Amino acid sequence: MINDSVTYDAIVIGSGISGGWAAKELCEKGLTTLVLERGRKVEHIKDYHTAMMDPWDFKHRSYNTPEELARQPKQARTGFVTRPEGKHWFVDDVDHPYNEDKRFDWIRGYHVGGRSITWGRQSYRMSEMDFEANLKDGIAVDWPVRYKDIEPWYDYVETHIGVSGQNMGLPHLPDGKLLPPMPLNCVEEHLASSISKNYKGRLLMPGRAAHITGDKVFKGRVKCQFRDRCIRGCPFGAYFSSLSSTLPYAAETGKMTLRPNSIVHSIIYDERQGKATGVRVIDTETKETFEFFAKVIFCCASAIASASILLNSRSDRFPNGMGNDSGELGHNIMDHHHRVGASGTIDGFEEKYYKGRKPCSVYVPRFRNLPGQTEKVDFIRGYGYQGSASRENWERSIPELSIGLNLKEQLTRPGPWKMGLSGFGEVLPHHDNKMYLDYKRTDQWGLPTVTFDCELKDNELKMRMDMRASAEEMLTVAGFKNVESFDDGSPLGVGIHEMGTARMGRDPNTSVLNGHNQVHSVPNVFVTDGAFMTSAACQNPSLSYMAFTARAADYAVAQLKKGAL
Amino acid sequence: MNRRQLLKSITLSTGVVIAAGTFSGLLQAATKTANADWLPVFLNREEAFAVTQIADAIIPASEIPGAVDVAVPQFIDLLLKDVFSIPEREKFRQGLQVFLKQYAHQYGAAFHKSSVQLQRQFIEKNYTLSPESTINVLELVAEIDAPRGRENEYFLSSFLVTQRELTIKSYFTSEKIAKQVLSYDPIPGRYDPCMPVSEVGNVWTF
Repeated sequence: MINDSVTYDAIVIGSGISGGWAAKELCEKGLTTLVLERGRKVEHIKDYHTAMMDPWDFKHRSYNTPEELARQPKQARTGFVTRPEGKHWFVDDVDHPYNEDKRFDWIRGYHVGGRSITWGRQSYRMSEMDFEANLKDGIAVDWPVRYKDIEPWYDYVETHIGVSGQNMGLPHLPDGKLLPPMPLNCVEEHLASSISKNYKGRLLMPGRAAHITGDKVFKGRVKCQFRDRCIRGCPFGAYFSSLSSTLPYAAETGKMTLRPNSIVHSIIYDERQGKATGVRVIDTETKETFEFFAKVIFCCASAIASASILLNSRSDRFPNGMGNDSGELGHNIMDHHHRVGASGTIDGFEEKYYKGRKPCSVYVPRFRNLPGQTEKVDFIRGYGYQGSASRENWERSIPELSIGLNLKEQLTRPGPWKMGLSGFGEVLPHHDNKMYLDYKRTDQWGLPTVTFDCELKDNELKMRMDMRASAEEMLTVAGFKNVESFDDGSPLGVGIHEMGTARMGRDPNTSVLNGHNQVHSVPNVFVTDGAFMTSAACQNPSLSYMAFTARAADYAVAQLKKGAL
Repeated sequence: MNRRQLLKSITLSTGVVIAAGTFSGLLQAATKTANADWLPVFLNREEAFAVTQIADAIIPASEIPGAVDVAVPQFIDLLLKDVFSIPEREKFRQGLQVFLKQYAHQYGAAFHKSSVQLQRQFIEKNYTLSPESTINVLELVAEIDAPRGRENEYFLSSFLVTQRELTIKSYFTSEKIAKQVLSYDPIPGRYDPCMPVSEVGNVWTF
């Protein structure tokens, strides 16, 4: 065991979306900060080695070899993350095993920047309706936060990262500080007009995505080039990632020490002080163990990993894991369920085309169970749709058998217009949707592995029927042909929005964190990744993680300065 | 997709009238002999020759290059070696062998020793199916194992469908076609949501 002689002001565990924000905020507020990342070192731009590659530059083009697939069987369940252009941003399932009492698709990226390099970039605010939902429905626990508490922090993070999109003045999808939208193409526009005309209170708008558009200048970043190769890492820094947008700011202060290849396996608790004093780390390469010390600790390792670290931080005071007096740690796992919707083709736009590959979908904001709505459905909460229209390319010919010059001629031309809508629905928190540690099955560092025991339940399954039917109906009403609806099933995890394992609440007996993301019983430990979510809403969650992280960092620094931590 | 929808979509896409200007290409293609003078890494020489001739029939050369011009057969051979699992590649080979045996049976000569015209005739006959038969073939190949008593038909159909799919994918993802035939725009720089298709021309490369 090596004890670092330096005591830092802060330790941040993880360098993804939340960790990057924690590092930036804490460093800019003057704290010496150690950022611990379990994965490899990555340098912005330099290490995006596939970013400029065309299909023929890859030895097997878009195909994976059986040897490659054998290393990532669980990551491959997504159907897209293990392709040659981006597979190096997702973990090797053999080296990083987990267990499933029930299927859970745990899609992870272990490297500096984490999943901020590969995220979907859709950025929506939660609304007052979302923060009040649990209280009104009488399920789980009430959020200890309301929209007005977080609103200025949404303003703050949006202004820094750059979010393109359009404000629609909706109470249930609050307006933001947005850059110019990525406009709808003519078929998307057609569907938008049809929805507005045929459905009261329903609309289709340009999605909001964390890409730079317009003329505002962002340090070290260039605006979106419409290549839609985001999953490879953006050499233009056009979308938000920790590497393009937060870690450079933290580094610039001179206060940050970033240590890759460092697995934090537990947090050190000092019973006398009633506080955490530091973290225990294993170096993934040398397997040496270290202890690092700090006044305040931010857990930003992602919902499952932060819960694992806390569960593994056992002491006389916390025999079931740090901060787990309530027994809720590792429980209430949520995600967004998706892979359900419809698609169709449309005639009448054959003379139209577009230029550029829009890396952002359209968005149909939630329209079910809104306040004041009288139309009843057989589920609570709701969902939004993402989707896009495009002209099909040569891949449309695959399900047929024709050959020859005719075929070749046809396939070099733009194909029919096709529009798809895919729902993203809210998952309710259930105590029995959980993860726990298995101390019998350990990984190569001797650490316990995670086991999942959670599933979609009745409310989500009912919602999916409506997600499928409404998408089909909207396309049909708008004159689309060959409309086909689909429900490909959505195991928990495959939304890659896992959350809720250390929920916020007002009562320490029923929640892990208070309204400042602070562990109720260990005030100098904060959890600001998806673990804190008390309910899931149906919006993509990362923007909320950023806003809550910035707010928690502000609070932590103020408390430190007051001597309260 | 159900049977009716599948049928409808096939009729739709094969019913498109082709533009003028392809007839010269047609003549050219009919007289051109496919080139199989490359060293395969998985297939044997006879198999490689057949894969080459079939690729040439699926996407013949015209005023624009065909599948053989952009090394599609070589790439299929590489995929068989590196990308296919052992059972997948054996299934491909089994179907290809059925194809060669049926040819020999019908024409009384080995495929690679026959004239290009006869080879082409046999390939086209295998791929020219009514929409209803096409559905039957696609349903058959969707089976995980060969239905009892229909093994030859199953392996042959699987081979023909796979060869066709690989040929199309390999062709349109080749550098030459992607850059010189399709509309290649690696860094668009901006998004124009709606413009006349005539300003773009052929389909975007990606």
